[in-house]
Amino acid sequence: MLAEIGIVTETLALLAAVYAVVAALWSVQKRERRWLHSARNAVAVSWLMITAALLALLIELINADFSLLYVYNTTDRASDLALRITALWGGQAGSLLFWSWIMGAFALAAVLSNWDTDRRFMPYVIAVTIGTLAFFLSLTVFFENPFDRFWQDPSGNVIVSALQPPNTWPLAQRDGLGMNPLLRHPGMLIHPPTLYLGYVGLVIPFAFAVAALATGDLSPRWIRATKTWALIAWLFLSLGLLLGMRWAYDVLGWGGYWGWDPVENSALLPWLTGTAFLHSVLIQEKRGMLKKWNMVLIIITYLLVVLGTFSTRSGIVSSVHSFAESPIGGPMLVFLAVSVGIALWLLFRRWDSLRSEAELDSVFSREAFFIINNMLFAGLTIATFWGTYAPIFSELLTGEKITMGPPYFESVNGPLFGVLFLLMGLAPLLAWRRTSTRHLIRALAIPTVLALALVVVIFISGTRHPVALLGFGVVGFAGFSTLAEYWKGAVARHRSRGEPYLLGLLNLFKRNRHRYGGYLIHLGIVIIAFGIIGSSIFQEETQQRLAAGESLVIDGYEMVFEGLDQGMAPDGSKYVVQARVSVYQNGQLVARLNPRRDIFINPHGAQDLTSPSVYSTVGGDFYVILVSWEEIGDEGTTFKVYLNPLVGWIWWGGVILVIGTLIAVWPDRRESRIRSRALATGLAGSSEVA
Amino acid sequence: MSEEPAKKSRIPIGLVLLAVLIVAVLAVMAWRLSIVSQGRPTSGPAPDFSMTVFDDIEGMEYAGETITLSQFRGQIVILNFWASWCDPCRDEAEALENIWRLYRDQGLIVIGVDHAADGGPAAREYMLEFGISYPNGLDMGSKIGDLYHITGVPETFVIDRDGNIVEVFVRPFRESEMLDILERLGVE
Repeated sequence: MLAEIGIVTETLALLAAVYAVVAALWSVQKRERRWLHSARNAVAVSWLMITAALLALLIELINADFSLLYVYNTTDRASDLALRITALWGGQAGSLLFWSWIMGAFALAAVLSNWDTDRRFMPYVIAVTIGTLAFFLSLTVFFENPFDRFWQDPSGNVIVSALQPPNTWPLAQRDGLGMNPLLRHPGMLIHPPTLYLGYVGLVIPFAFAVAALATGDLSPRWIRATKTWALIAWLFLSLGLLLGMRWAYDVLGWGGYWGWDPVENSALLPWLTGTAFLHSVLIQEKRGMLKKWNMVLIIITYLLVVLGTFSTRSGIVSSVHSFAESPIGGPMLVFLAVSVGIALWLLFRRWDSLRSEAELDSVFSREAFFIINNMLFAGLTIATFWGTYAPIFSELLTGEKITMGPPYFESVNGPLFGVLFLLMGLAPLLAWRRTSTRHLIRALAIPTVLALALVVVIFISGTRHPVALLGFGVVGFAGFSTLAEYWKGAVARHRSRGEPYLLGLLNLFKRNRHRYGGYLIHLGIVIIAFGIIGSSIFQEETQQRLAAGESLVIDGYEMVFEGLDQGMAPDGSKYVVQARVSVYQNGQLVARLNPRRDIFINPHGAQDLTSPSVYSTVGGDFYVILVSWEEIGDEGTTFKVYLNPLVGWIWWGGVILVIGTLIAVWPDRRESRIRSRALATGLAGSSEVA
Repeated sequence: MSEEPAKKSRIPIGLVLLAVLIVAVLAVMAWRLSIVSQGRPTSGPAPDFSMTVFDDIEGMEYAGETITLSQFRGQIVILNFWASWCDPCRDEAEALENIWRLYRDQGLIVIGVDHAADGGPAAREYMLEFGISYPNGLDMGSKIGDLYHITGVPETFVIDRDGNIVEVFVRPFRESEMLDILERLGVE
């Protein structure tokens, strides 16, 4: 019964979505409001229908109804409630439905919240967002239906189909396959939805860009309407990347968190163009420049979002992340070509109207540095794109697959990121239009001196690695320069209003959330960069075979192997081998760790899950993996130990990044008051050149 | 990004270049997709091939002989593409050896094809580690791989007694899945 409800509601959702697109465009053709109202209502209906379908699937998962192929593939009887809920996006078909649900929610929210302010855009916003939604819904209805069921015919053949084929009867499996043990990690459970939120969020600015091109209203109105959307999308994308890194670090057991794998890169690519976009729209808002560039950037971001989804699910690039091969590759490629084609054609028609309103006054201006920032992000995007898809291109050109490994990405992207941090430190010091040399030198002095001091301290403390010293110096400069901005702001408020420094600092955030929230994001990124430099340049590792009671020594740490415990888990689902080790630093016991191996016996065959055990401090992680052991006795157990300096800074930097973004997107009552007043007097949308 | 005042109806070269680039990228993706998704046989007669089985592994069936797929007509064939550097293949190797030992007397044969970029001592060590006794050979020049349009390892093809492909795994298979399929093909 629930499966039927699911099939009916997902089909109705698709029909409502198609109707919404047609009605929205028809309202432009007919110049009639009521069609647009009807389109808006259809958007709401479509989303409600998807919600119903999703709930039906959720209940099927919780009830463990193994007559459904999807339930069979993603859960088993042993799974607890949380695992059954997360199975909703644990497989291809369910994740497409879940993706559609988020897309529908975002589209509905964007339409409702901009309904009065940007009515002219609405037909096109609905067409783009709901067109995208309709496409993904059609994939779930026609290609990857989560409500496909098992049927058996008289000769005993098992058929998988959503609707009952003639002359068959339903078949329920006794138990499911269960979720892949590798994916049973809290980070992995929220990582996919977070990435989807980021991906879907980026569709909204793209839709408004298309609307601006279609209507010919090329003022920064489309940017203002979607600035918050872009930031929220960026937040989720960043969070998705960080959670993915954390999962890799905790679960995959190779001591690292980022391997420049195609699946990782395909999430990084839209993040790079999205970050560039967040910066470049500021120039259009302030100076009326880069109008063409912003359009190109958001179109490419949209392209990369869909391309990322396509390439990870169609199997065109091989990856350590195994995705089931699926028939949706062809339709996705066609959809991508059509939607980007339409956007480029609209852009072509408006190209001459997108002329810049201002020229660059000076190289020493904030806008000039923002332009360089964008060129660097473009360079990073191209380099990462090339590295990711090189196997395909090289096979086409030379017949041989060339795979780019981490050294390529590190040597190309490393320096580009370095220059970006230099800009991150410099740009806030510069004024719009032009900056006098004297002002620049004065502003530069303190951060430069502090950064040099930092390098000297690091040098004295024993680090001689030139790349690391340069990296810490540049990143430190960006950090000090950002801190100086807070300091200057607080001092100015103290002088002009007599506010205590701390209160002045708080008021900075209140008065200009975007700017000072943005600086907090910069600080978060700076801290993440310290963690990345430290852990990638100074990682140490050793692999040794120890008998019980023996110990190994690595850079000031001593690890004593106490013993090995093994046996079946109480629920019989896995065989657990766990080592007991003690970690001493300078003769003091600092941690007792339990690296382990879980061997899941059924029904995955025998799948191994290596769980590292970690002792974390501010200075770094002591990360130990159980490599192999002897079946009998405690003789000869092999351990691999990594020392990952500063790795914890990545996660803490991530937390600061999230707080900064939340401050930046928090609705500002003053701003919305001004906006509605301007709207009333008909001034909204007039270009605002500072 | 240069935005000097435009003359009337000037063709925006930058935009055209971008469009050409995007079209090229999408075309390459489409080409790749056609190889990935349509090239691999998923049903119908399995392409025939010959392969020389390794002769330096003790206890391996057909060691040193040249075998052809068609000589196993009437038996169920599990054709597994692997390489010693492929981690998921390792789990499969154990499962395949078990399945082969359990069902060989019911007319089942497992054939292992070592990826062209492998072979040598690493492959030998791999086969010894898992005590592999079903026939394995090196895919010289990737001829067999091309025949089956594989895009990586592991890939596994299940062929029924009439020589038709009935199942393809473009990923590591689960032992229970394989047992289900074999059950359907009449192996208990």
